[in-house]
Amino acid sequence: MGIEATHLGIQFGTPPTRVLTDINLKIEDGEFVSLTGRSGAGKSTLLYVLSSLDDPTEGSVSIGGKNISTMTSKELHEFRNTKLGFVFQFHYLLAELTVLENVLVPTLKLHLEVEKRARAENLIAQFGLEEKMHRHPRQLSGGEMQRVAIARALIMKPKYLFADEPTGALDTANAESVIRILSECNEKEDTTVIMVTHDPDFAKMTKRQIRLADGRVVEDSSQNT
Amino acid sequence: MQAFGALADVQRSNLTLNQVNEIGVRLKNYEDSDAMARTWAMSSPERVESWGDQNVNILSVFRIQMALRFSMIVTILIVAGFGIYNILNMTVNQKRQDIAILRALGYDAFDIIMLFFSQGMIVGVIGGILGVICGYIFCSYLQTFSFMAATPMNPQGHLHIALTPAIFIQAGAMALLSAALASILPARAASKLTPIEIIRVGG
Repeated sequence: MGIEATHLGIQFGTPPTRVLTDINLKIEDGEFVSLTGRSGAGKSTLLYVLSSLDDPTEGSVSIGGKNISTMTSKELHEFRNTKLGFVFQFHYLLAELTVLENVLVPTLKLHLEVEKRARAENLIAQFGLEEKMHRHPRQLSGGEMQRVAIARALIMKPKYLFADEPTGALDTANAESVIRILSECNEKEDTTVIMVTHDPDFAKMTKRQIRLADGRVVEDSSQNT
Repeated sequence: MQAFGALADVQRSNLTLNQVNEIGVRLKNYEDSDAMARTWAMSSPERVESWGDQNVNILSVFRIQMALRFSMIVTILIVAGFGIYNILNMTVNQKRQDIAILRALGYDAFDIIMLFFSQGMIVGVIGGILGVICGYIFCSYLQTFSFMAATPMNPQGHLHIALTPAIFIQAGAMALLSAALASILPARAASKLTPIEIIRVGG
């Protein structure tokens, strides 16, 4: 089923500024895709539209065969909660909660916190944070906070993981660790990962690279082979 | 000053021998006095008045006192409500990033409304309970002071304060209502924040 964008376009502001133009894209389930391009190319906007966080002004997006523009608000939020995971450049952890509680936040919506606790503990251990499970975000390094954010994104076993410059605020060692985690999650859990990055080296670590310029897809490695 | 005497002596001193100039009737329910006085007035040539008609000035003072008390309560609740409203408004502004990530994680507008509304209600419940307890303690303490001249009915001149449960239940309910009204606007404002407008600008 995957993710399919058809004649996708978006413009912002007054007077309207076009950010994406006629994007046609199909991402199959299980792919690890990087969206690259210069600053202002529209890669983050494309990620937000593909992930249902933003609405396109033209065209449509379907995820797993469902057109997201036809979903009711309740359906969309439940879909987001159970099928989609998000990692941003900034970790957006809740400061008042511990590492474990932060990872469990998505489970609270459907009251699955007891059922998912073991998975949360496993993910935290897998990401090397076992001893810091009961600490608060302020007691962690930037790399550790980003790993907690990834664990939070994976807690509901999402089918699709969207990452917007997840390594943008990290040093090289931590950035490589984050990319390795995303790659493992793609291979071991069969999660489709779509990642925005401006780093060509990290982009090369993904299975498919899509390059954008001026709001259009100018290169797609899947069509070069 | 009050003086008591034998009926015959009093009639003699007033030059009203064998005359009855007033009959006082005590009813089981004082609230029936107006209706009863009207009924009796229709069947009697004598002047029949309820105690309310006789004490209309005193009752109007009580009514003014009640109106003032009610105005003060409403003012206090409005001030308290604005306190809760301001706290929640500030919390919503400070928690924009948290709200954004919750929305991105699948929490819908109703979840966000309930989150902030319940926070306001927790403040209202705690404030209401503390207010009722403090009010009871303060009123009980106030009752021990002598504020007025001693009378046979009130030999120590203490202030009479009604400490009935209904008054405290009413006060607690009004505190909750005030908290609910004060919470709903910030909660609605929080629910209208979309994740993208906060994430795109980095918080």
